[in-house]
Amino acid sequence: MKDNEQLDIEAKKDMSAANIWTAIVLITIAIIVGMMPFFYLKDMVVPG
Amino acid sequence: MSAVIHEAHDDGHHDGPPAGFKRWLYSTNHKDIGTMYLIFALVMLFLGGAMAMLIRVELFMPGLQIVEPDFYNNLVTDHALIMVFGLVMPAAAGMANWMIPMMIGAPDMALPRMNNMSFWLLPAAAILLVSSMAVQFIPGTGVPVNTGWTLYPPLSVQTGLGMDLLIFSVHLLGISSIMASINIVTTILNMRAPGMPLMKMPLFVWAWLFTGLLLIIIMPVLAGGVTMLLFDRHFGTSFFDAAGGGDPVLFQHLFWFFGHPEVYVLLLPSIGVLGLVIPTFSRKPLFGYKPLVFFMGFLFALGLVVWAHHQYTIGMSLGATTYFMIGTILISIPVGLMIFNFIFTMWRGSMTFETPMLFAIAIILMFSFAGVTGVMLAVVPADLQYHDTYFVVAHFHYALIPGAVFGLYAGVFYWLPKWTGHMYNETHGKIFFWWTTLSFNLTFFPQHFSGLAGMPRRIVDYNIQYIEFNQISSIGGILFGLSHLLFLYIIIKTVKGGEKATDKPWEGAQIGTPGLEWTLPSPPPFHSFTTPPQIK
Repeated sequence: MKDNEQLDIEAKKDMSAANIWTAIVLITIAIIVGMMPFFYLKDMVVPG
Repeated sequence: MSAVIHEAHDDGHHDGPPAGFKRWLYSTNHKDIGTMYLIFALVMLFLGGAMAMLIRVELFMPGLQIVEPDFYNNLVTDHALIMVFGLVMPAAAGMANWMIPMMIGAPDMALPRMNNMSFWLLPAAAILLVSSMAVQFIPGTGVPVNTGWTLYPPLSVQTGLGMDLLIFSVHLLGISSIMASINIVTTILNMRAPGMPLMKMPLFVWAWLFTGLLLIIIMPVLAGGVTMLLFDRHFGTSFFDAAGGGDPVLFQHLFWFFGHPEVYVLLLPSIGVLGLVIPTFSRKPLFGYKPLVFFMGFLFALGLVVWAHHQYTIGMSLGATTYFMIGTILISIPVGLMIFNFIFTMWRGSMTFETPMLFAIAIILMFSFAGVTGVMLAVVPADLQYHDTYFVVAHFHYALIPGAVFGLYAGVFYWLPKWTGHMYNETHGKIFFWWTTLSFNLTFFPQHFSGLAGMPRRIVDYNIQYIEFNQISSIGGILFGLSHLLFLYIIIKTVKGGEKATDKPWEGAQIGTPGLEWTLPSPPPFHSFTTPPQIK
């Protein structure tokens, strides 16, 4: 049985590297956003 | 790596799915994973629906009938979490998995192994979620999770072991959503067939691009917030404890920074489905494709910065309150324009009223109603009266059941012939539509009145003056729940057989959008595109 990477290559140019880099950029954004509450928002929110 | 793969190529292996449980457990196939997402969502629909029916049975009469107050609040909490994280998001992700690669001409998702993991985290999260409810029956595990889905401290710091299980469940759900979103965004950006620029993608694909980006931004904040909650519960921190220098209101900001855009996460895939169903059954190209994409982008951006309209009663400054009020009211502009776009698409079209189209029209009518009550709730002095009443419950059920769930039903009926290779029974589909729509309105319309009269939400008992509204709601709720047995029957019957579906089962499919899904057979082969499709 052919695996997905193999079919990728048959179908079009190999996008594996681009896919991995896109995923790295997106997960970096997610990690930064997820860490923000711990470092910033604690001092930013003051009840009126 | 690629050289090795080329050498192994053309070795005569068959191209079909592997046999047995390995096909599902190890699957990297977008259609199989999509099917698993959809089955998971269906199971969760019945679990969350059963909880809702139990809530409505309890509220049929004032006083305590069948459940204890803490268990009632646990039901309210888990019903919400299951419907949001177990039903709507996985069902929308299932449709994305099934349809996006076929629509854009990709051989599969960009990161197929991560796709497998995204799905298989969900059953684990569901087990933790159900355990968080079951653990209350073990002596010594403390108070059940009675906070509502918002998990506000200090109550959530004081509840028992169930809250820890729930927090871990939310972590897994968050990881699953983030990974699925990364995969979908990467697939859309990198895997489109030659000749398909972004502005030629079907609206459903655009809707999921925005949904995926939204999830990547908001889910980590919820994960961070509940982790801080876990620290407060067990590791002596005081993020949300005023006695230790923290602030419980901080959690509300973190939760609603996630919670409000989450509404659009639930809503946008359904808008994408509308963008396909309405042109198909109106036999006219979508009116204003580019503006619709722009409006979705506007909704994406504005949705991220108006979260505190859920918290008007906490005592924010006048400036902050005014900002959040104006921002929230502004949201009605892109949403209203989208609705006009869909109405203009139908205008002078050759309309027919198959089940997906009936759901689409119902969405436009009933979601608009939720939009009107939404503007009412956005206005600060009015909201101070409506806050925490059944008016809010009625509003968000009108937003989410037509806005999200009916959109999913429209999608299921629209794509069921493509997925299964069989046409569903149109008469059964129409009976299901009228049954759900009428019973839904019977359930939630009276709640506007009980809310305006002051009936508070999330309380097991109520004053005797609200009894009529609640009895109508309960009868509607039971009928609404039972209608889903017909939904299940229709799906099983269609999967098992029926009239053979053609490659393009709807006459008007593909009008105006170059989605490639209709170029494939019904059902599509195990590997959709082995050579790049050409788009003219």
